[in-house]
Amino acid sequence: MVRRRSRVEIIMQILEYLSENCSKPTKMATALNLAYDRLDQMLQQLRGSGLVVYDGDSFCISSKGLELLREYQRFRRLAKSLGIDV
Amino acid sequence: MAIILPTRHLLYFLVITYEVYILMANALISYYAYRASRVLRSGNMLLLSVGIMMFGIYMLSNSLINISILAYLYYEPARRVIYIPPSAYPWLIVSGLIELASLILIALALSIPVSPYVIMAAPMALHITPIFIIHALSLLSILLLAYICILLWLRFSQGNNLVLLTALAFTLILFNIPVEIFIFTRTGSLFLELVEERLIYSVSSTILLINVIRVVHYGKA
Repeated sequence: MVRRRSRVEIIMQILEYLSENCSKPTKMATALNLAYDRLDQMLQQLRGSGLVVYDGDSFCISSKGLELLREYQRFRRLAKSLGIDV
Repeated sequence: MAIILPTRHLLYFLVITYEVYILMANALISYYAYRASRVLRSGNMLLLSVGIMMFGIYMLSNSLINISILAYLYYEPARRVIYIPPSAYPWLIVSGLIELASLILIALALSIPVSPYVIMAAPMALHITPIFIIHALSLLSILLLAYICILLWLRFSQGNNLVLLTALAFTLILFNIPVEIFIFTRTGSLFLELVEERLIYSVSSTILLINVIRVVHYGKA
């Protein structure tokens, strides 16, 4: 059975995807297997928090977003090293 | 002028030093687990954080009780068997409860079902002699600890290499029990047994702490 992704996991997947290169929402929705409406709503929230930036054509991760992503990845590794699946 | 301290005092000092170190190490591990629970929004990490902190408190309480028992034995040096004064029973029960509660929290964090232990503990409640309760709590803790170790090694065998040090640390705590029995039967010294126990706890806490620091600060994968 496929596990439902939590909101935090989806946000981190968006940031992880954008950390590789900037992307348009439609391409991102396909790659991350997300409904366009939901992704758009999340991107607007992330933009409001300063985690992503929009250049009029595509979304890119900001330095604040990159910092958060690194912190998340570090603590995710920690959870894994303590035997916990997050 | 040379200062000669009695061996007993040296051992007390050693045990307390170990204890302070163990408590500090556990507090640090617990703090990192708490930070992880905030960043990852993970309830399991929060349970683990509280569980590890409680295990540190259990180690401290266990050590303090043993020291008080040793102080009692000081006045009866001819006694060849461990006599636990009845006044220590409530403290031993509280200490056993803290240990079991901490292991239950760790087990819950690792998604281990704990209901079988509650079912096992229920008939034990019918026997209400303090000695029986102390032994029952201890037995349940050993079983739960063994379960945690098996699960961690299983996760390691499934490809999670990061979990190796954690599995090693918990296995050391589990192996403390036979080593403790061996040392006591060979030497008959409660002091040595107490020092050995602190040594094993401090080594396992150090392993866990090294694991946490290397993952969080050095990004080792």
